[in-house]
Amino acid sequence: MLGSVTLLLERLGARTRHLAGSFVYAVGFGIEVARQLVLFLFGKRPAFRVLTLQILFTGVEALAIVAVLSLSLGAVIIIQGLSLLPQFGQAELTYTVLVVVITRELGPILTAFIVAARSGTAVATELGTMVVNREIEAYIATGVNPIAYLVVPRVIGVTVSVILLNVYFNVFGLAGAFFASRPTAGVALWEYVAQLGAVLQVRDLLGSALKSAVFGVIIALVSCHHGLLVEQASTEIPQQAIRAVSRCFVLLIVVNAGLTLVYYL
Amino acid sequence: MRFRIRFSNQIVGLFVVTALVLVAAFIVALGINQRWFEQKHEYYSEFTTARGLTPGLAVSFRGFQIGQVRSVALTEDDTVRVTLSISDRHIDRITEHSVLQLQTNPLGIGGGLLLHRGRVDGEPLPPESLIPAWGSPRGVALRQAGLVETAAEGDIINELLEELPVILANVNHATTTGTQLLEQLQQMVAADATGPVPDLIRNADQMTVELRSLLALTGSLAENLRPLTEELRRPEGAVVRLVGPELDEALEKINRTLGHIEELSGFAAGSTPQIRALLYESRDALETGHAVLHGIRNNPLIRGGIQPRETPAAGFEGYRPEEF
Repeated sequence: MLGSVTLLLERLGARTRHLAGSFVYAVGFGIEVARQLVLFLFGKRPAFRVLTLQILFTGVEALAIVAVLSLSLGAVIIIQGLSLLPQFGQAELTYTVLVVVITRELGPILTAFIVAARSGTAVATELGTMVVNREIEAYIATGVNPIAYLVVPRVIGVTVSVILLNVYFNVFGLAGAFFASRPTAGVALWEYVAQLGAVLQVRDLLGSALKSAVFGVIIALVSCHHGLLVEQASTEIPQQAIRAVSRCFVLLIVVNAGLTLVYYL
Repeated sequence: MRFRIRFSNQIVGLFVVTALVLVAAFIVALGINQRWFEQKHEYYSEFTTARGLTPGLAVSFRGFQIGQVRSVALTEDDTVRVTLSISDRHIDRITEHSVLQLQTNPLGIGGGLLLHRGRVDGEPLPPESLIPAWGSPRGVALRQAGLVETAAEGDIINELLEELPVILANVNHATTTGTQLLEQLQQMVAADATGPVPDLIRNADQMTVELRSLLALTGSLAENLRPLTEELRRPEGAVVRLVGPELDEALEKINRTLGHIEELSGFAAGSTPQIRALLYESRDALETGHAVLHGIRNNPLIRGGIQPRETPAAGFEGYRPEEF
């Protein structure tokens, strides 16, 4: 009995120490990334090529799936809105619902989910593979800061990609809504633009961009962090990749709720 | 090297620039549509509650947005001051006697301020002026005076909800008046109150006592009347037995007398023409006699009149003088 209690306490203590150590490591990692980010933005940019490639892989290559998703989503929302809201005598709210759903909520979060699923795993896997292959040690040995050269371009690249993909998501989503409303409700282009322009506010665009930026930073930091948590074995790589994605999803949902709350305060 | 890797800079540049152009186009379209650079005129209105009023709420006229709510603030005198901005293109529609109606949705979504233009032609209302609310006393007075164009834009539930504060105010006023009346009545019936009504109320007790004794007396009379009525009702009762024969005889006499009177009346009614003719003839005889007497009096032969007739004395005058 006493032995089992002692064992339980030992496990609890070890778990607590591990969580505390991980937390301290993550905080230190974030601070170092922030410091190197400032140096990257206001100093020399030796890793600009890495940044470009990251935007290419994360942003450009995800454009197709984002476009398809947003087109169909916008079409579904406008069709549902035009069929459902007039029953409550609130047909004019269709465009408000469209802006709220596409621009404020689903645009940033769905884009972030797509990037986390595609690029988050890729970043974690890539960095984990580099750790296993001793490439990180090679960078350090040659005097290259791996945070500055590997992490910062990825953080900026993923963040910029999420922001830009969100812009495309809005454009394609609203376009999809128009293309769907044209044959179903016979809405003319200028009428659609006028109705949309009446309800869409600049703060909606800014709020959406802010969410995207925060989501991009979260995805990049969590993915890089878990990629660098790989120590020796290649079997750790998929484990950390899965953890990175799942943790990204959880954080994205929680932070999205918090930001939405702040938006309406 | 793959194409996209070789031209990654160009592809990413195109990706970024296109996104920036789209954002710029969005903002320009918003600016044109929302007329950011158009001159706007501010007005204000006063509501009793801020429920349903939020900054950015649309101000519409006949279904078209002509402005929006700038701010909603609670003033020191507990009214809700709503500041509106009306676009310059629609300033002519803000005429005197215009009224603002808050259109809310029972579901809590949608809504806006509807402008009802005043029935006045002329210059628009100067900026910074008050546009009365639909349910405010001034708004109600303007509507009742027929000075507001009340186009039916909202639904019936909203209109009822708009009227509800007025109805509640009236009910509140009636309740307050009733409460004051009750308080006055309570003061009247208080022990130390003076005046005719308190005296009357105070004397009510004594009056009630007197009325109660009177009712008791009336009750005893009624109790006494009851056996008498029963006796009268019974043919073999004591009353009938006591007054029965005399009463029947008297009634029989009265009946006979009435029969005689009836016969006399019938005879008189049947002899009326003869009596009338007799009276006419008598009157003619009297007139003839009067003429004869007049002629005799004027005749000189017999002037001096007719000797009075002497009544011959009776043979036996009796034992007593006639005057006795």
